[in-house]
Amino acid sequence: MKLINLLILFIFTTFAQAQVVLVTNKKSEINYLSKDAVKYLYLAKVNVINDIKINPLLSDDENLHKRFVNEVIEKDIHQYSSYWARLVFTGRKAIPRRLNKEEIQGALKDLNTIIYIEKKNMKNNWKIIYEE
Amino acid sequence: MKFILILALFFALNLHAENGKLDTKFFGTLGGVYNDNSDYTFTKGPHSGYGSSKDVNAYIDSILGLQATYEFNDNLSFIGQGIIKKDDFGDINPSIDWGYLKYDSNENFIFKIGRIKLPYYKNSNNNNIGYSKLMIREPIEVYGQMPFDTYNGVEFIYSNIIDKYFYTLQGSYGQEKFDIPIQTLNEKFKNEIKDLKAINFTFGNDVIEARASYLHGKISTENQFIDDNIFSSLSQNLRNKYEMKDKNAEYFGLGLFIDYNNFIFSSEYGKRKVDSFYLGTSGYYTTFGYRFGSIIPYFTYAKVKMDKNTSLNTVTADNFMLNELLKIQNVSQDTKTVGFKYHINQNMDLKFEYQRIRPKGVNGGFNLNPTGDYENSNSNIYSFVIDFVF
Repeated sequence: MKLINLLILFIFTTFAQAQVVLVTNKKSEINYLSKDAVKYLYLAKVNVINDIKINPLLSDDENLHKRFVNEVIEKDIHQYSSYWARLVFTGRKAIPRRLNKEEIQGALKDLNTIIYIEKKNMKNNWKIIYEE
Repeated sequence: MKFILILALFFALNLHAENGKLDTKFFGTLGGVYNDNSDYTFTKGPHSGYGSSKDVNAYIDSILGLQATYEFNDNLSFIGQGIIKKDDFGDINPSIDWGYLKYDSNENFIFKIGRIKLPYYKNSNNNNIGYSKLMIREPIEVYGQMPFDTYNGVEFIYSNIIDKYFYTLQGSYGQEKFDIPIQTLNEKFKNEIKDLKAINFTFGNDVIEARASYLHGKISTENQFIDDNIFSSLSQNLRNKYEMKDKNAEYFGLGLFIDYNNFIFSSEYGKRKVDSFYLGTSGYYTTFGYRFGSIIPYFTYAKVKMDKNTSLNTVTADNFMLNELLKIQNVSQDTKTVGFKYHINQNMDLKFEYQRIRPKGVNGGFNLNPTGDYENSNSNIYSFVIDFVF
C-alpha cells in the first residue's frame, strides 16, 4: 500500500513539476491572463491587454518551447515557425530572442514582461498568471 | 546599385550601432519547374517573358533576399527588404522590394511611411518568403490579377481583441509608377497609379480567420507604339472607353482561412475592375490540406474568368488592332494542384507540386504563353523548391 502511495505521489509530483506555466514579476500589474489572451500575445495579434503593454519572451529550452507551443498556443511547432516567419519577414514583428535561465531572471525584473517556465523552476519574486 | 547602397548604409549603421539595434535576416527559395507542353511557356506571372517549355527552368521560383531592421528606439524603426530574382523583363538585378520607417505606438497602433506592400491578399506581404507559405506559389488566378503590389505612401494598422476574437484594420494611401513588358512587341507600358486608397479588415481567432480588402486608384498608361497603332485611329467613343488615361482601377478581395485539428482550409476571392482595355477579371481558389507532423499534403482548385467580352461587337479596319488587343487580354484558365510541404527543420522546408492548367483564352492563359500558333491544350507542370530563412 505504501508503495502504491509513493508511486501516486511520484507520478503527481512529476506531473506538477513538468507543468508549463506563464509567469511575470510579482510587482507586475498583470494578475491573470486568459488562454485566448496568451495565444494572441504569442501570435503577436496584440501587445496590449486591459490597457497594459505586455512583453512576451521566449525560452531557449527547445523542449519547453515545443510543449508551450503545443499545449498552450495549441499549434504544431512547424506551424508556429512558419507563422513567425510570416510576421518577421513582413516587417510586422521582430522575433523575440530566445532566453536562457539566467537571462530570464534578468528579463523578468522588468514589470509586465511574461515568459513560460516549468512550474518547478518558479522563483519567489515571480507570480503565475496562467496555468492549464 | 540602389541595393548595394542600402546594404552599405546598413553596414555603416551597424558599425555605429549599439548591440541589438541592427538585425539582419536572410531568406530564399531555390527550385526548378518543368512544363511538359511545348506549345506553351509556363511563366511565373502574367507579364513574364521567360519560363519552362518542355525543359527545366530554375528561375521561375528562385529568389534570394535580405531583410534589415534598424531600431532607433522602442517605437521607431526602419525596415527594408532587398531581393535578387529574375524579373519580368528577364534581368537578374538586385532591387529594394520595400522599405519604410515604422512607428509602433506599442498600444496596438502602427504607422508606416515609405515603400510599402499593398494588402490585397492574405500572403501579399510575404509572397517572397516561401517558407512562410503552404504552396510553392500562390494561385495566380487570384494573386496575379493586379499588375503591381507595392506603392510609395503611408499605412496605418490598428489591432485589438473583442471578447475571444482579434481584429486588424489596415489603411493605405499613396501612389506608384511601374513598367509592364509587352513581350510580343519588345516594348513596355509605362504605368502610373495616383490617389491610391486601400483598406483591409481581418477578423478571427486562432482557428478561423476572415478578411476583406478594397483598393481604389486612378490609373494611366503610356506606350507610343500602342497609342500610334491602336488608339489614334479610333472613334472618340471607343477611345474614351478603352484608353487607360486617368481611369478608375478597383480591386475587391475576400478570404476565409481555417486551421483546426491539423485540417487546413484556405480560400480567397478577388475581383479586378479597370475601366479600359485592361479588362475586369474575377478569380478564386480553394485549398484543402492536412498536417501529418512535418508533412502537409494539399489540394487546390483555382479559376479566373473575364468579367466582360474580350472582343468588339463590330470589327472594322479602324478598330481591328484594338480588337486584337482585347482578345489577348483573355487570361481565363483553371488550375488543379496537388502537392506537399515537408518541414526539414525550423529554418527550412521542401515542397513538390503537380499542376494541371487548362487555358481558356484565345492566347493562352494567365501564366501560359503560346510558343507558336495557339492550340487549346492543357499543360502539366511539375515544380520543386527548397525554402529557407535564417
